[in-house]
Amino acid sequence: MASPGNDAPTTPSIDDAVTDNNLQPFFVLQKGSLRKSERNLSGAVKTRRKIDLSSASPKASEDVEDEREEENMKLRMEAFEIVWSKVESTIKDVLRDINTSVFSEIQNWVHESFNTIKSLGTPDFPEATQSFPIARDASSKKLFTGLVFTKNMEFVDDLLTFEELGKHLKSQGCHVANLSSLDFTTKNGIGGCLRSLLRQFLMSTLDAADMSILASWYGEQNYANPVVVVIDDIERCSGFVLSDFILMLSEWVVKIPVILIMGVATTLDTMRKILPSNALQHLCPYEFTLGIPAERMDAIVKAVLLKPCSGFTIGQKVAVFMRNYFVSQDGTLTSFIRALKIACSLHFYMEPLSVILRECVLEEDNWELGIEKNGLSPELMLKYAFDLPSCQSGEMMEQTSESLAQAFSELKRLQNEWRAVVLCLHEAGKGEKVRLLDLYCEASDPESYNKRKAELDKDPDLPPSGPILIKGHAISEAVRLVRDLSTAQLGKLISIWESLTTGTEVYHRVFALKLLLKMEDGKSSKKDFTVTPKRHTSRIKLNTGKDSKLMSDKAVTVLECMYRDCMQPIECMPFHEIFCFRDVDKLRLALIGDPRRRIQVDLLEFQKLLRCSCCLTGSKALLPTMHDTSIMYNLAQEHGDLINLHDWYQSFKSVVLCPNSSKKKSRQSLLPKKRKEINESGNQSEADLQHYEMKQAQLSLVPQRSSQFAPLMGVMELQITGLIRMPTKRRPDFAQRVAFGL
Amino acid sequence: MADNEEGEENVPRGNEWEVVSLTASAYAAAPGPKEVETKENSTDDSYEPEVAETSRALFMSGHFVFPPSEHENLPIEPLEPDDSIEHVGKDVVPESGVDEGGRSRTKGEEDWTLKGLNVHDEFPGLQFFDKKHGTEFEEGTTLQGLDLIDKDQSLYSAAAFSSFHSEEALGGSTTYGEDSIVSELVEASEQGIVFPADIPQSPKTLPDAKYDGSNLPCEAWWKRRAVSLYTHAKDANAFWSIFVAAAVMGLVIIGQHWQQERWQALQLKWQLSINNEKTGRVLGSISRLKDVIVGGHRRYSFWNASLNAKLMAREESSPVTRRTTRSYSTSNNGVESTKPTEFYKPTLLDLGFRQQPLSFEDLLSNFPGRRAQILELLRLLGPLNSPMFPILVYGGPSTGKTSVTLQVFRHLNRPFVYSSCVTCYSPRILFESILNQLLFHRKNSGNSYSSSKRCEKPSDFVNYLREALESVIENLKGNVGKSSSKSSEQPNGTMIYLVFDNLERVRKWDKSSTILPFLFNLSDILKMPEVGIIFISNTSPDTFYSNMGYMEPITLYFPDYTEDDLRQIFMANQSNRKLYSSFLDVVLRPFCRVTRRVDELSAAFSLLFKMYSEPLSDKEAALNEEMKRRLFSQLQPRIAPVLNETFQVPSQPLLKAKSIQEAMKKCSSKMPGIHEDHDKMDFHMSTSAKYLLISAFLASKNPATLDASLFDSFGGSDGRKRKRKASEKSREQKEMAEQELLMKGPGTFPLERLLAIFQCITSLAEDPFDEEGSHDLTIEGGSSGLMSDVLLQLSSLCNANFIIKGGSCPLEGSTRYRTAVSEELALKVARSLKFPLSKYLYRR
Repeated sequence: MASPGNDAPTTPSIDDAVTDNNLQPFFVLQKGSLRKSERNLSGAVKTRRKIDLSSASPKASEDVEDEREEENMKLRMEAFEIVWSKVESTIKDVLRDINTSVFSEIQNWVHESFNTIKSLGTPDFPEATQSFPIARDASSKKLFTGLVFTKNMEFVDDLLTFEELGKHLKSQGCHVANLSSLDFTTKNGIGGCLRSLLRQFLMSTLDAADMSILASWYGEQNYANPVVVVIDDIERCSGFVLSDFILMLSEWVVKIPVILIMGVATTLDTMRKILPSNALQHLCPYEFTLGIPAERMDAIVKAVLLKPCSGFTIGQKVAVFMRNYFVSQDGTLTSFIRALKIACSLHFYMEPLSVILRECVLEEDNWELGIEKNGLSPELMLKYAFDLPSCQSGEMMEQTSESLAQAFSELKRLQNEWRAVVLCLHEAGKGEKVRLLDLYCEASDPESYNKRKAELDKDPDLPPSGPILIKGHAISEAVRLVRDLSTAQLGKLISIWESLTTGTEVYHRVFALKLLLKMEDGKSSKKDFTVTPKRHTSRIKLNTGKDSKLMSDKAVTVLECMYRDCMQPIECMPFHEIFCFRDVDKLRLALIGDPRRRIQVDLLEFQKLLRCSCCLTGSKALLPTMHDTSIMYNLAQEHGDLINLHDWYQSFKSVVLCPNSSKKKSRQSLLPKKRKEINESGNQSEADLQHYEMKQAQLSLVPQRSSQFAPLMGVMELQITGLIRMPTKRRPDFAQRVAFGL
Repeated sequence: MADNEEGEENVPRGNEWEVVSLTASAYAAAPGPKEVETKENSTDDSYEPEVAETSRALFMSGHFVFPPSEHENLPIEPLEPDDSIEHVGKDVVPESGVDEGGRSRTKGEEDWTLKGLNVHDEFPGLQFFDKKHGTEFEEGTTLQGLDLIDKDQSLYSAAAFSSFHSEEALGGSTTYGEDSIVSELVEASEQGIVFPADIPQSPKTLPDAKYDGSNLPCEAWWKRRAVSLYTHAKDANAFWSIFVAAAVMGLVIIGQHWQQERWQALQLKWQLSINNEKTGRVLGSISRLKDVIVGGHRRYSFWNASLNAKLMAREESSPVTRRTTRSYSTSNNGVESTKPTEFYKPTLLDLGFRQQPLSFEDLLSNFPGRRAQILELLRLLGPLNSPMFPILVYGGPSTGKTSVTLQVFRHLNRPFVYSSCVTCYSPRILFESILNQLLFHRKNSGNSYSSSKRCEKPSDFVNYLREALESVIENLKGNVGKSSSKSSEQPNGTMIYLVFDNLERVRKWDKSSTILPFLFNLSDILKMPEVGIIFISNTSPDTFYSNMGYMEPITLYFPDYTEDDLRQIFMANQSNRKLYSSFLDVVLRPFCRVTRRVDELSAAFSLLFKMYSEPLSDKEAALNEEMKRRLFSQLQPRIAPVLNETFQVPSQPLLKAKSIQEAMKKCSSKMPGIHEDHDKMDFHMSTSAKYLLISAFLASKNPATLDASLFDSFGGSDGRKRKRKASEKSREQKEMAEQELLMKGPGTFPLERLLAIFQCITSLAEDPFDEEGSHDLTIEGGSSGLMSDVLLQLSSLCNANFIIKGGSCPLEGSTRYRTAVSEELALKVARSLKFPLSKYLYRR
């Protein structure tokens, strides 16, 4: 059975096992490459395969069904492409808009400093290319440096920002070169970064990069425009190379007006840490600040989830998960967007009716449900739609396309209202630390809505405040902030609300509030005019203060009413499954994976994966037909932190070998006997043996199972997977368990 | 006579005297007496080139190998002091000078005998004095020395000098006279000793010879003066001769004074250099330094010298300016014609400074406090077309080395090739940049920005360089021929100078061990007298020398500026001088204690001056005392922060500054140090990254043995017990250990320890930060939820330079980490998590 000759066929079978089972560890351990592949559609394909397995519904293989399914899938993938490209472009626009003010500020500064340099005098060509410096005074060796604080330790998000900055400055007529920290490595030295600088300016590669080349190139450009060098990420640059670069530039600064822009991820201290003082000396720094990541996150959430963008939304649990992932784990927008994309692709994969979203994107505002357009058969679609759990739980509707369309438009209306209120809340709490994502999480919580609804049903005259608002949460925080507003601020806020709520049902409430405020305003101003000068000013203040208090109380009441009445989360509406992605676990699996835990679970419950007939007994008992490593790991569970190797080996032997058989006998002769004894039920067969071999081949790289060798291999595999640590010198006969999680 | 005295005088000096007698002839070979000869033979033109030749041959050999004739003279000389002068004459001008030397000798004797033996004894003194002036004159600019003699003796001999010295000198002429010879001899011999050991100190013969050979306009003039002096001396009556003798005597004494310090230093050096070469070198640099100082002093005392030099410089520069104004205009024309389409073609002009040469006064006034260095540099460069030794200009950063050197070249208008080792960051770039300049090659898009020659190896470089230099020198020489007709626009002279700036950077190059000796050896390798080499370095010469066997260059030290110099520098070009000077009164003193670098100071001052003059509405208003006091009191609190800060970010102008000011006001009104903004983190970090950072900080700060007691509930009591037991001695030990810990900085830790602490911290800090939904999630995911990305977080922390990944330890085999986070930041992070960091920090 197990002979070395078996090696050849085993390798493909391993591959098959890996790809077919699509073990989670493999998926996660290649996170880096995944990130790339996620960008194109192949990522989606990958996920599909995985889900295929996990959903694990072995359908009856009907050819027609399959074909239709396939076609359907194709349509959905197309729809996904459309939806996602829409989302992506929205995100891009949002990010660009956020940066525009900073960019224009930087651009102004660049031109200003260029003029300052020029005011020192423009050298003529021979002067500019001469080797010795043009000495004017001590300040003429200063390099103008813009420090752009990205306010995020992780730098991934800002790669795009700096690229855009370069483009922006280029469009304003500057010569721009984007250098990254990879250009400032000690390995390449100063030559490396000069070379890439020249490559970007001169569009040619030179083996001996030299500043004089740049000088003569600049001379040929007529000295008209500033030269801007953008360095992405200061933290990762090698300090030596960077300081050399700065010193070199400062020697030439009159001849080539170089302006540096550097991205600083953390604090100013990093500059002091990285650069020696003689390099710092030459910098003439100015500070610019990009938006903090939380603000950008708000903007993205607003644009993608709260403004009508694609129709695709995420459920509360998913939102919470993504928020937590952002706050406590990764902290980058990139990963947030990635998570959103994964969620989107999963949604399109799992939800047959998600094709509808395509229309939603294509004909933004006035989309009507057109079943025919989607390429699905109407009957099937209706069947799908009315089979959705959200529909079944509610009152029964007529299963016609008309009623479906009506339901959709109702859903859309409710959704719009909900969005408007959330945005109003966000607007109220904007200045303080009320984050839109938090609001989103809270507002989309179906449980709290149900609770509210139940209470409201019980007692329709319940005051809106009270038990509904939970203290300390984002919504109540926002409401509290409204309470503290002055009249003027309130007026501003209300006018913003007005613009936010146009076209929804809430609008009339806001409008009423506005009228009230206007009236109040007129009154108070009239009062002010009629006031005799003798009256105490403090009294007036008190009075107006009272007025504003009154007003803000009214505003709070309106807000609370809006919250109570109009905030029906999407998960509480019928047919929401079509638009909303809710499966957190799938997303988490795709995003985080948790490989170590997964390995352990798989080792303990390998039957689920292999589904072999021999071990499907479901008993916890260890069978010799089990995989070696699995046996070893199961046995290790009985030990504590330290595993005595001898005991371990003995117990392994006792499991694998028949306790009665002698060790000296070869395995070959032993096996049938052992099997006979173990499989007392008597249904042992040749197939079983074959199956055992196959399993060994699938899971282990070593098909051979000798009594001496097998446990060793098992231990080795456990060590490679990081579950145990090898014996140390101090305790040569003990292996140590390294187990996190389980 | 002198013999006896020598015996008496020099008993305590012992063996030094032997050396003295040995090298007395070497001294004699020095050009001192020869000048007397030239004066005597001023009419004899044919004789001069011979002098030049002999002395040059002597010099160019690199060592002072005594000609055999001198050795023959050795034993005789001390015995017959009367004849020594004659011998000297013979030694120097063996071929043609003998007769005339003899004649002059007899003449001199005739004259001096009238004044008696004392005066006769003085005669060598006079000669020596002349010789001294020779050296003096060589150290300064060429002409001034001789000029000086003329002046001293012909113009001032009666009035100035007698008044200066007659009181002591007349009296001293008898008492001093005898041993003055000896001491002079000793000194002279000392100098003689110095020659081989310290050649750079006194490259006398060469400039001298060059001087003779050069066709300077004033030559005839001083010759005339010399003749007149001679005739004066000859025809004078007794009174006059005594007077002259007294004057001479006085000068001798002054000379002694001058030499005293130098002499001692040199003596020390000599002794040491016998014993220990290395310490000798160190001391040598010290004495060199001293030499510079002494030299400076000497020159200052000799006001006439510089005065004369100025005079001469003006005389010299006036035709030059005329010449170069024309060249400037033509070069301007050249520039105008260079359109980007047609490429600029450099010419010989580009080897010069391409700007109107500075006059000598301007040169000096542009660099306050650098007078001595400028004069020294001019002296070392020598007159037109004189070969030179390599020079190493060194001194702290921002002391004006490069600027002075460049401006000196501008003043002299001589061709030079400059290359900075900052810009030329590798040997190849350096070589190619030099060659490009010499070959008149400029990189442009026409030649696709390539160099004229591809050159990476030093050997190639030497070949190319020699070729290029030869052609350039040929070119220059052709111009010199033309320049007699004054039509040339080129820089002066046929010498070309290679200037290497920022030489200290070369030490960091990969091939520094070969490149540095190569550069120092370059003049020897090239063997071209027309090439002068100048190195400029931030670091002292000792950082370059290795035992590679090259000749050490002559050093020129640029000391830090004094406070007065700095005041002058900063006062230059100030529009409101009064205000600025009152500002400097406040600021300069405290800053001088911290730094004297002009660039640092100017950065700090520009900011402070803005603050200083801010309260003044009318900047031109007269400044009274009260106002000054008010301004001072306003500025006072702001000086300290600027002093401590090396790097300031003004950020968006004014707007930020105002808010900072307000914050400062708030800060000063409240308790200092408590600042609300400090609590906020000014950048985003994910929660797990924060925890990781804190645990890394703890791992670095706390000793590993304490982990158990800090994170274990049982450990605390143990520690307390141990503390109680601590005796005096153990406490001391503990303190020592703490000191050590402090000195070592943050400790390193393995990844496992970091993860363990991280686990403990995250489990301890039960979700004070989490809100509703996340709670069930963390429970659900368990700690593994936080763990899964820890390594990713770690890598991004490493990228942000918060955690430094060390190399793997060869003993342990695993990578160790270390935090570079300041405690402030760690506390800030902890505060943002509401984590009680100080509870876990191990202190004392």
